[in-house]
Amino acid sequence: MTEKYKVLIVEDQMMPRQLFEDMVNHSDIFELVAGIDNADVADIYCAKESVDLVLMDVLTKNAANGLEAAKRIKSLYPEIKIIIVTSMPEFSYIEKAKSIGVEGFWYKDISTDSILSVMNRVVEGENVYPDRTPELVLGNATSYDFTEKELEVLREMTGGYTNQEIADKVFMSVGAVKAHILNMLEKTGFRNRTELAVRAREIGLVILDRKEPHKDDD
Amino acid sequence: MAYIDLTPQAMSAVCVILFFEVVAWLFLLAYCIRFKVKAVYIVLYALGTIVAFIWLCMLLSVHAAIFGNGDFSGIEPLKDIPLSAVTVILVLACVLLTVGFIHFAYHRRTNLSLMSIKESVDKLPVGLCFYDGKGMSLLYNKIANDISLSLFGNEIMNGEEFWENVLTLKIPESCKVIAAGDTPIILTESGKAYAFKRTEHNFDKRTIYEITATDVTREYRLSTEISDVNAELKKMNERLIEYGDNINRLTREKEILNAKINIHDEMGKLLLATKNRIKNDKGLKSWELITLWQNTVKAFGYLKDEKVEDGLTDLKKAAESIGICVVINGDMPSCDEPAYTICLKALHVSITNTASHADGDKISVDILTSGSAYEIAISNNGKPPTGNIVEGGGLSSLRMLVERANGEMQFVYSPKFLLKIKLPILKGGVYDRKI
Repeated sequence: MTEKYKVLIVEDQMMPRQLFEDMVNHSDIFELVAGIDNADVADIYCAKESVDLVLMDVLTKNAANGLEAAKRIKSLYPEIKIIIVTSMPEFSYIEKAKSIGVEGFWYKDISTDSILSVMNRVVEGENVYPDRTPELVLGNATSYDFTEKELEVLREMTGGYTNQEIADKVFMSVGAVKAHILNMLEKTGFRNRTELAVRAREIGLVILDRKEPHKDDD
Repeated sequence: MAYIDLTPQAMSAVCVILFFEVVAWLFLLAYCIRFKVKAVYIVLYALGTIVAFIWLCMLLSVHAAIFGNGDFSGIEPLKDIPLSAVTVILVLACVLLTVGFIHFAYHRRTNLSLMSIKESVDKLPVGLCFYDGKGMSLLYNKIANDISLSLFGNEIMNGEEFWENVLTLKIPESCKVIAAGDTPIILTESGKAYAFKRTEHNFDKRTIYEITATDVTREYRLSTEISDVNAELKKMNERLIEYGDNINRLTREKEILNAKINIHDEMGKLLLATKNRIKNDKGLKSWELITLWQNTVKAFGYLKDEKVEDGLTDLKKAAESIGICVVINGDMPSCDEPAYTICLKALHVSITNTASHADGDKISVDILTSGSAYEIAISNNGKPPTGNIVEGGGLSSLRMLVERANGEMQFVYSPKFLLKIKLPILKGGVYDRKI
């Protein structure tokens, strides 16, 4: 009998985690190693060479970042395949996942492929990524109307930072930050930056990782 | 015809005209001397005065001789003064005086007088006061005077005293100090704000002090408005940060609620289908209903509240899953202490290294609290390292955390391998960064 692929599930919400566990347990080619809710300890489960595939949520318990955990796992155990699973449409997750070298990326709510088919393709050696991030509506604009730099600035705005602090974090001048904010307000039709930041965070367009190291942490 | 041939009334009139001409010449001369007009004019007006005065004296002597005792002894030549000469003198004097007064009017219009200085200074929007080294006021305008009255209840008598009172903020309680220091800013009772400044000038070896009081009421009101807006923005910012911190939890709760609603709806449909089967023997088959009921009941189980465990429990569970038992001896720092996070990081690195390199199955964490510091020693029952430890990603990031917290980290190789960390005790907040 062919040995089953051992799967570690990292998902902090009980319902999707249980659903994934049930799906793996009922599968002919996958076997569940564990279902955990904290990405920070995921690499420990991988330490005894008992994991072949990790389904990794991005935002887990205690604000543990799944992308950071994926990066650690890839540096320690590059042979382990990882699929990032998220319901958050934050635009930078796909790029970060690609730069880390994870093999798959799956949006919980909108992907047309089932997670099981993505898992099958990944263990076969394929890299499975969506073509683009989901299109979200923000005021009078959609998420596709914003440039990468604008979204970077918008992400820091959701942290309540001043223009100077944003400029320091994203390595721009204060003038450039102000210009980006004005552009976004024009595109969306929002009255002020607070409304823009709240709405953007509400729909998950940008998500600020407060644990992410910045320039002033060195 | 001679002058003495005129009627007495005519002679009197001539004398009066000549008298007023002398006065006019004197006026022009005095003006030129006072306002330091060019010397040529002073000389001209002086000559005019002298000539007119001499003629006046001459004619008055003739007058006195005619209307006195008729004795012209000593002034015989004056008997024959021709009338034409007198006329020429009068007319010439009139013409020259007219020119002189035109010059006087022009000079007045194009040059400053003390009054014009005072008038213009009073019209300035700035309070102005000049005083000398002894404090005596030389010039102050209406605004400065009004300020003195509103602040100190008296007019500016002594400039130095006025400045001292402003500098030391000896103002009534109804007024408010906006800024103290060398250039104080004071809000008066009337709601006007003034910024005071003193400048020293040196003229001809004399020190003159200038006090200016600039009306900054508009700027003060704008800065107050900006402060209020900033305070409001700060509150909004705090709410935004709190929102960002809570949004994940709120999103999760919303998703769970939606899931519960969906399950509730499915249950409703299932109940109707079951009722249909039981009552009317129609619709879904029994085994299909049973399967659906089983799935629905299982889905209920997914929605139960999950016990939230702390980071240490998660680490211990993770270690257990790979066959490593973690034993803690002593008291862990409390969750709100920065040392707690560092301890968890150290334990995490130790578990990973024990599994990957030492092949042990037990980790001991000994924690001692010695007054101002935590002393943590982590060891395992696996193979000790053969040489000195080369710090990889995990150990180097742990060292960075420890040193940033003003702590110390070292490896002990005998009698057994230990990872030793010393951390200062700090309740809440963050450690000060090393410079």
